[in-house]
Amino acid sequence: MSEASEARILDRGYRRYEGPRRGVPGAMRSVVLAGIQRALGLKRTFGAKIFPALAVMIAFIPAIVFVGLAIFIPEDVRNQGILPGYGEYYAFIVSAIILFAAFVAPELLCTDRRTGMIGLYLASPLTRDTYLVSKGIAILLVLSVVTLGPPLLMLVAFTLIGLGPDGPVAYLSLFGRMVVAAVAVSGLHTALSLAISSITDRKGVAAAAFILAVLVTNAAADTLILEADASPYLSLMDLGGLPFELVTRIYGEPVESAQAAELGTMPVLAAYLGWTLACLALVRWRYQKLQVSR
Amino acid sequence: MASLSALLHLMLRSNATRGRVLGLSLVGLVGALLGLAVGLSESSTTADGAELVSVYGLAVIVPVTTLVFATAALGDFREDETLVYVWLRPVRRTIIAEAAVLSAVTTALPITLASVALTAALATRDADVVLASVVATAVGVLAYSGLFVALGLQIRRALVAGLAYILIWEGFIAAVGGGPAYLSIRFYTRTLLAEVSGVPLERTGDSLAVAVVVPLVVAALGLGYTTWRLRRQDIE
Amino acid sequence: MTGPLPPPPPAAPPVPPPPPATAPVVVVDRVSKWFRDVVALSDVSFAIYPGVTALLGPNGAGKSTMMRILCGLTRPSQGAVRVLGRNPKTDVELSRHIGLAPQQEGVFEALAPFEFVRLGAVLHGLDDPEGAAAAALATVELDPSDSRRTITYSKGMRQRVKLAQALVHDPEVLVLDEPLTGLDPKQRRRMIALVQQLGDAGKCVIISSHVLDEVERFGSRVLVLAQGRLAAMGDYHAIRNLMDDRPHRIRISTDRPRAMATSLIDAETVMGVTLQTDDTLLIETREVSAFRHGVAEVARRNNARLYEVVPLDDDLESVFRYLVGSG
Repeated sequence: MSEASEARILDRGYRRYEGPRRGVPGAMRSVVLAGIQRALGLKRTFGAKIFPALAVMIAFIPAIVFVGLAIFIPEDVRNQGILPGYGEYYAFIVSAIILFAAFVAPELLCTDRRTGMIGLYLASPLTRDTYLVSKGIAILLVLSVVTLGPPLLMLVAFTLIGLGPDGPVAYLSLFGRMVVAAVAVSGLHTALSLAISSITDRKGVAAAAFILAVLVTNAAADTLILEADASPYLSLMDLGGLPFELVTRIYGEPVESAQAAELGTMPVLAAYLGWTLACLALVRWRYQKLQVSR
Repeated sequence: MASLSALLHLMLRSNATRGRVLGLSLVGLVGALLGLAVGLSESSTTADGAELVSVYGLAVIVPVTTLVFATAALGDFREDETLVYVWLRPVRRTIIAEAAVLSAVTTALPITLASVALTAALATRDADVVLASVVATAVGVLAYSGLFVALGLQIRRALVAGLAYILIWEGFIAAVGGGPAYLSIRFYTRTLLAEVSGVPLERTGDSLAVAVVVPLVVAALGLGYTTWRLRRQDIE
Repeated sequence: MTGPLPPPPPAAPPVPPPPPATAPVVVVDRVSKWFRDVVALSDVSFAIYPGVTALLGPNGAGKSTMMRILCGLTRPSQGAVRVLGRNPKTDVELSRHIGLAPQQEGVFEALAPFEFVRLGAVLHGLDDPEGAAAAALATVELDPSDSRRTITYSKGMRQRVKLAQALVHDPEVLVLDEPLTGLDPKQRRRMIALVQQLGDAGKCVIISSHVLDEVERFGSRVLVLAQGRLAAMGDYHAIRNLMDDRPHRIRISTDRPRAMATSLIDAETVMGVTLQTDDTLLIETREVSAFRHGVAEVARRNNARLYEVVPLDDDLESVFRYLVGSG
């Protein structure tokens, strides 16, 4: 046999992938899963886990305390209304939700742009829009841990000790409200943090800007309405309070302040949707004109 | 002196970006608008105006604006791995730390002073409250600068950690009063506002001297710690 | 008739610096460095003298960690380092004599290259920082009047800016971490020439690289790091000659291969002979010099014509592969 006939290529180095291709849905699922892992610090260093773990802990502790109270305090005391409603619960964990929201979107968007990873993502079947949708879903799901988790825990625990809703219809109705309320709280925060994260490449600056936006609009609305007797409709510009105002109405719980009571549900819903869509439009616009190099 | 000036120039060019200055000025402007609204309200008093200066100006604008510039002063270089170009030069570490604190003060002070003083003027039209706001802001910016420059060098997520300090520690835990209040810069700036203006505010201390000295000590400790970290810390 | 023997290895590199008569510039004494349970350097000792010294090793061998220790950017977990007789971690004034072009790409985003390099000159307290910055940029063939920000530069151009800021104060010790990365072939040639020039001028240039053929062209002494340990040091030809446990391979082309093979196998210097093709032999020997002297005589006796005598593994890559354990 001649030498030439014995020649073989043993390793070509590059081989074309011949396995199944999952296309856009598969790519989106990968981005969503990677985003959730990154935001929660899974498969990352201990340091990366601290902040998400703290936020989740702060969000759940009041729920655990209320469940404990429900178990151990006498029924007559319990009936005096010391336990909060499901909507009212958010007042106890608002700072945890805001801090978590401030941290998650910058972690997922700014990092990709600063490290150039976005170039690799966009070399996959993903377009800029599907990339953003995937990131949005990841953020929404991560925020749901703190917006849906604690009320669900309370629902399950209250049900087990006989304080749950009466009958399956009431149960399903409450569960539905719970999900809608959690999406309402997560939705605007996700959109706002995405919008801010699309403006700067620095995670810290994006987080600070998000918190400032929430705090400043909240303080401005409160001051103008309470101190300067301004129209209660100014509370519709309160990015921090608007989602929680909507939650109150989703649960049908009594509106506490007289100013808020003057507002109809439709203006609140319209303002909520308006802000959310405006933020999403800003993100899309920023990413459409973003120059990506590989 | 040339080194300090060059470093200060570098930090100002790098950290006082147009976006940051505009964004934070806008936040400051909101304070002034709130001050105007409160000032125009017939039912509001000087105490209401001073309270606005405290809860918006001294509790939000001063710490957050200073946080953004102070953590960036050395933190951005650390994040971008460019600190080495400053560190591997025959420059005393104290000079680097001083330049960082100075750059934070230089950028944060004009924005916060303009905003807080304007808020105070529009909300109260009282010269004593305006003077007290200026003093409290200046002392607050100095203290937060020392603290947050050190934080920016120490940890990677300094902005988030700083915000957690401002919102959770100063905003909730220390705001209740008692022992934790003494570990909060806001407590001293609020005390300064009350003591210098003569407007009684709740949850304040009763010593003007302590309210001046403690924040200055915090600034000095922050500066010292930053210098020490620069000597000890690994540089990327 | 015996054909002429070809000259020994082609592409003769510049002559490495002679064995040092002066005091070492850098002394590393039993240095170890670990990050929690990861050992980056383990009990490494060496001395570096003026001239070009290349730090070689695969990724993760500890090259960058060693360079950072030499500049005082991190302290060794154990052992001692002296640069010009001083401790680089604690002696701030020592940085007057050290120039570092680090591996990372980060540069001051807000500054133009001239401003970036001038900043270094000002921090070094030079009398004419503008002149020094312009000269340093000219050395790396960049235009000092270019006002574009450094962040907009290509990787290769940024690499040259980093070198300029390291050169601006004319340091005695230059530490260049992977300086050839991102450069095109023309720029690489110029960078190598510049490094050689600096070494010839008596500077102590420490350069890390894993581009072996280019390190070979520096004509430098080498320090080979493998898995955090110092695997070898010195001129790489000398290192190769010290590898007595591994035979040198030499290829011979001749018109009478079988006769040559029969004669050579009897020679004491030859350990093995393989007939590769109809006119090529592969010889394994531990004594290259003696073999070279003897092969011509063997050819004459066999009336064989020698077309070529080529050492196959006398290059740096072969030395490197052998030392880091993948050869």
